[in-house]
Amino acid sequence: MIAEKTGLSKADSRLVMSFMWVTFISLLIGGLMGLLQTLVRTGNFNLPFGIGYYQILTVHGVILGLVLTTFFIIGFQFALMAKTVGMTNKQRKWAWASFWVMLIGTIASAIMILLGKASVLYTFYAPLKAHPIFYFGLTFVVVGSWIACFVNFHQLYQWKKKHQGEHSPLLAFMVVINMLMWFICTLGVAATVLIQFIPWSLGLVGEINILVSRTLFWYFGHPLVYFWLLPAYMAWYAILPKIIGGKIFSDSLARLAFILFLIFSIPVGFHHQLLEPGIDPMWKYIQVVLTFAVIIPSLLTAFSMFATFEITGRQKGYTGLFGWFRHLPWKDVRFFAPFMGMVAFIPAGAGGIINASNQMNQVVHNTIWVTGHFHLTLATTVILTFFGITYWLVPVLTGRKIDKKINTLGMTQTIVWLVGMFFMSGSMHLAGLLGAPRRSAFSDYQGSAQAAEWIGYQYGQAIGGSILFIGILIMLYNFFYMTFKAPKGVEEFPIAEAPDGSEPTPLVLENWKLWIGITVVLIAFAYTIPFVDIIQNSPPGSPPFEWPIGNG
Amino acid sequence: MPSTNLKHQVEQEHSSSEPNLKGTLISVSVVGGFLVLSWLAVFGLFLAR
Amino acid sequence: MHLHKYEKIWMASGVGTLLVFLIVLGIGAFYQGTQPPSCMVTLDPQNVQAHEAFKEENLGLQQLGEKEYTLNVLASAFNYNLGKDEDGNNVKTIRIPAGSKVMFQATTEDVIHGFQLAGTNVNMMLEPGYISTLETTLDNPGTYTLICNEYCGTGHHLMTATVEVYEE
Repeated sequence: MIAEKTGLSKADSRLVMSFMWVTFISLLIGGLMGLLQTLVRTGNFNLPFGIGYYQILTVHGVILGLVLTTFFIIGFQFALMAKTVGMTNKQRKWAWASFWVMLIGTIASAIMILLGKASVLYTFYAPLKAHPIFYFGLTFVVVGSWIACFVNFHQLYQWKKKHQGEHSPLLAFMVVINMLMWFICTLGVAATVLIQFIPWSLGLVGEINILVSRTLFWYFGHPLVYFWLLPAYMAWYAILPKIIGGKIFSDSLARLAFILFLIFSIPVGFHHQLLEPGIDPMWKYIQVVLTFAVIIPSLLTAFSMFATFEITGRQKGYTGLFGWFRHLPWKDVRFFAPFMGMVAFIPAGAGGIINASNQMNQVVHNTIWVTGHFHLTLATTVILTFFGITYWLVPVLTGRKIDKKINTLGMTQTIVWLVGMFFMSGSMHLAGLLGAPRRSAFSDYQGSAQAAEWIGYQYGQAIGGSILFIGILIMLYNFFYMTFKAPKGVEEFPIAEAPDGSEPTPLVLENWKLWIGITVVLIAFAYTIPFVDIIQNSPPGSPPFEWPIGNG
Repeated sequence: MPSTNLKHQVEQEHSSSEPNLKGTLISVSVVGGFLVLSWLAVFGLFLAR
Repeated sequence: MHLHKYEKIWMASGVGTLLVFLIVLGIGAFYQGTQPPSCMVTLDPQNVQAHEAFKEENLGLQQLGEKEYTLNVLASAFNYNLGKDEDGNNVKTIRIPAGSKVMFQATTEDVIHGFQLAGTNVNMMLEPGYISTLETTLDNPGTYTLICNEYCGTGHHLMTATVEVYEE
């Protein structure tokens, strides 16, 4: 009975809520680190107790970029699957297993970082060497996420057996696409960690092949960012239309967009390695072309979003060119936060196209511009959408209802976030164009006049960072209030439907073997020759280096 | 025979009564314009240096 | 799958724009010599001195011809080795006449470093076992700061040098 009313059973709610707790604890820890970083980079704040800048930078990257994201996404996707295709008790046991394996891995790696034994940042580039437990911890997080992958696959598989010939629910289709992409791409990072990093860091192997490890990492690194983005797209395509009182613009286009992401987000890793030696420039350019192909589904999504808003507005009787826009539910935070995430995706997408533009990458590579870019894509577009989801998901999970107070606080949080990010990411973009490096503590670069120009922007980043931290505190209060204090009641689990009478979705979109086949073929095409070339022309490998990061 | 005309008629109505998406076209064009301008700006910087 | 008329216009112009970007980049890279730095030469990272360019006496600015130079740099945590001047001090500033064609040739003997001349297009990664090269013409006079923009350890933000491009 409860399941019908709140849309999620007590058991499912407890499972998903555990993922939410890890998400928001991570938000506090990782966010505090970020605040400290911006203060240190102004040049007049020193970290207490001899804590290293690069240690807290590692905590910031791992806790927010890997832990917060993965836990929220897998928890949110369990909620979507339980709601649309159901979850058996056996599947829930495996889901809990994925939670605990991921949590143990997270704690293990976090301890090593806090002990200062793993200040290698969240990309852990060799030959800097962290404590082996750091690498084991990350492996556990990935293996735990694989368990979640197979639970989701099994959930859809069982639903389709009971619904022969029917289309899978849109949200279930999207979750499985995202988890398929995640599983295929994590094979790369698992390979480099298990075959290279762990034996090398244990001393079983003397040298590590640097370019092979980086290529395997970035085979995983770009789909990782789409693993973060696609859950936000799930909310935009299939949840937001319900919140604004409308229908999905086109079920088929939504599925096509997700299929294009599956196909094009993996054979593109070289656009993170454009300025590295040892990779043939022809193959770098080929993967730049494939990277531009992955922009197409985002163009599709932009059109679908505006079309959804316009059709909904016109059906409600608003006329004129932009009547539909003026009458969107601006006061509803469940819409306002994700919409602001969409707005941020415009400069974010523009920056992405610039970063991936082959030789143009020389203008911005490894400058603070890149940091500004992913603080727009992940830390605004994705995070504001995740916050927007939280305002209905947590009440659903705790059997409560969001009230006027939380909606207002949520609106405030979104605005505070935007103002803070405008200062921080804006300053990062401008300083980056002037050449300011990323991943760097404060330094006057021995009196360099250019470096003196960057300091003003670093103050701008500190102002933005402080405002953002206030935004984090507000969001934490919202989370606690919705968990413990909000009035009891039934919060709607908003799932949008396609308009009745719309064309049936072509069955080819459900042909999993076809799309997985194309994905594998594209990966083989984009990587086989250059990867074999890299291995054949490899120089002697590198021994581990611990002293540069303050160990041993 | 009439049934196919009917179907044909319905289809015509459906396609000719495409939803009015003028606002959408303008909005995405603004987005497209921003993407092109920012790309050209940084490309100009690349050529100038 | 029915596509709205405006959607076709949007997707066609969007994809068309992306193709124009790619063609401009492709011509620039493959025909106008602005490939991103992709040197394929390898060496032993634990014995870089075996390679001619990174012997102690060859480090720093080498003149090849009229306004044509090579700058050999050996990076290590946390220093750019630009060789020694006459009285044996470490070179920290390189002076190059404006309009010179300079081949930047660098490698690392320990971890990965960045090699960026702030304010110019000179930006590449240095990875153990590989030589990184980038050729460019330095037309704009000014003082440019060489910085390491890839994390290489606790002293990463202290790695720097100076390149002065002076008007003749």
